[in-house]
Amino acid sequence: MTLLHAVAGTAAREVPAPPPARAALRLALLGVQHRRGLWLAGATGVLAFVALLSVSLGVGSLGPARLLWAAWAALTGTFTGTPAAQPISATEWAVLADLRLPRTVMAIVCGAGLSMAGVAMQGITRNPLVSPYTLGISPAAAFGASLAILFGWAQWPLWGPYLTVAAAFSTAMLCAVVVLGLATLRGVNAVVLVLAGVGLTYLFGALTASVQFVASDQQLAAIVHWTFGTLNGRTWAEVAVAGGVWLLCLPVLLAHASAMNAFAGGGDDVAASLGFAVGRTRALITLAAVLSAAAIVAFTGVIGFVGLVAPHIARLTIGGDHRWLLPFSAVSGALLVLVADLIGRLAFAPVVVPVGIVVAFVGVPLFLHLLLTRRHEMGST
Amino acid sequence: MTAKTSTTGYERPGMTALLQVQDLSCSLGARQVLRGVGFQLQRGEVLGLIGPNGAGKSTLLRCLLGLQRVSHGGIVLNGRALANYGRSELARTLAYVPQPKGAGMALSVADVVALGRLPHRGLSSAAQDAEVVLDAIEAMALAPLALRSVAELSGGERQRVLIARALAQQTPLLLFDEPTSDLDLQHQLAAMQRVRALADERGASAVIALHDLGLAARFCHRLLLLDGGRVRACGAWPEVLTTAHLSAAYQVQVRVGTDAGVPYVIPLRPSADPLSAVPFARPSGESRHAHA
Repeated sequence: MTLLHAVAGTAAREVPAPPPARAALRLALLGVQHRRGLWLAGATGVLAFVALLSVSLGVGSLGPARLLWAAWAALTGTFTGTPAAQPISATEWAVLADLRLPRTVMAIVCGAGLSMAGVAMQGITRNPLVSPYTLGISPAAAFGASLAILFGWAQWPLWGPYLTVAAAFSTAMLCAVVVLGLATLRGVNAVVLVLAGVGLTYLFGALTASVQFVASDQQLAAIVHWTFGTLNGRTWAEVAVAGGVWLLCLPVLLAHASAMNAFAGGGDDVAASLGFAVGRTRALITLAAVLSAAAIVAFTGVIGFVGLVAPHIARLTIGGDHRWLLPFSAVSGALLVLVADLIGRLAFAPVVVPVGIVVAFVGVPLFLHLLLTRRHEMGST
Repeated sequence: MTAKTSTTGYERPGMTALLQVQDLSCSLGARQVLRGVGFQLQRGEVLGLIGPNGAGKSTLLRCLLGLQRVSHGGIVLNGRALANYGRSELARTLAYVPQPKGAGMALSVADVVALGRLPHRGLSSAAQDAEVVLDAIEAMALAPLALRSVAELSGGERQRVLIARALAQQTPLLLFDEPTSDLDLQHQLAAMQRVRALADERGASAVIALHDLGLAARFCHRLLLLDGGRVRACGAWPEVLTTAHLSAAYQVQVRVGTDAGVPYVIPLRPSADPLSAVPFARPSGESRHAHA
């Protein structure tokens, strides 16, 4: 019993437990690792289950059993797309392959990508307010998309939808470059970055509002609908582009998990004293985070809220070690978007409520609950 | 612990110093913060860095870390120029405990202490790392807090976590910036005793910036008094903590003494030194240092 505990014991009524012996401490630390592993495995299992639900449910449900049968048939090559003795009809197959599967994959990419981008940005800036949304990237994408809609690029034959996406991506990257430039400047701390992000958010918000002001009623409706954030009508080509960019950024972020720990746990000077090249590491992480976020919001519209809240939900669940937090936040972010999309599709079917709206309704109560029950772990400053 | 601070001639002949700082000057913007600072640090030596606010203590530490560009002079570590060290090699030679600022993101105490093992990645096994982390946690009496989030801790507890992280780095040289500023009396003693024990038993060296002159005198082999970016005095504490040096540097009159072998410094009143009436009127600092 140390002096500290002897003193505390006489002062307070409840005597704190004696410090656990080394073996007990070692065991407790191992237990933490196991719990983190279980959380990650469990959440991945739930995600797989919800993904299966997302593919099978909708207008004209396919039972999960028939779906698995169809998947098995497709994998083993016994499915030919012709009716009769096949597990599902050709129409059902078309719905599955061209509508529900790309939509489900896009929801997963969107949730996982935005969530990881948020975790990475929050980690290296040591600031819980940073996310692709609060840095202005989503509002910038909205401005690009609204420009495309205003000038009628979106109506162009063949290339129309891609031009909207390209415009959204360009403005999002423009904003990202500004953020990146700020992040690499020496002496720019997280507060400066957050304030600059607030400024950019308002700037692009005002620009979008100006476009809306001069737009026709029809264009206005299209712009507003885009900003809701939706997973409607996602094609495999779009999924491939957004998912491809994310898969490029994914290993970069995962490889820097320890660096994020150093930044998050000690700050820039401690990270440097632990052997990290502060400027270069921060630039690389920021680049991977904003690039994947820009590629995603360019297609899905403003679902930026995921990038702020999913990281916190993950951190409050599994702790701040980025080696676990990054993969877990990807899974939990994907789960959040997928569940929100499922609810949005089913609650008022056949009307589809945009996922950007439902995400807030699903995520905020969960977020507030975690925040209020575990607020002490969030810290003061 | 009894004060062993009267070891004046600590420099052991025939051994090259671990750290040699020669004529170091450094500017932050237009302001020259360090002016020709020079000293040596032996293996197994604890050097206390003292001086008034803005004297250049933190900047000197940042120069030693390679975080601050040096405008003139050189730093030689283990016989090699600091600039020639690779990043991770330097991280295995130097550990740094900054002044605590904010909790950062919610990592657990064990996670933060484990950061100290990052420079050793690939050089030591996971099991070895885990034991070193446990050692550091126990050394700073953090075992009851090990699983808690750093964000929940008090300032002093957080400071102990930062020290434990540096201990886990297992470097021959440790740099501390005000490590005891938020600690209670018990943990001030424990932290300083730990550092002194590392030096006496394992030959580690430390440079510690401190405001508590009594603590500095008691646990450091030598003291270095910085004032206006210059070395005003350097040596064993009775040579440095003189009323003349202290009233010139801090502009207060002090009483220095020992009680049962433990040195203490009591500030009495603002210095009667005529210069104290115009404490900021020192354009280059030359005239003061000339007569000091």
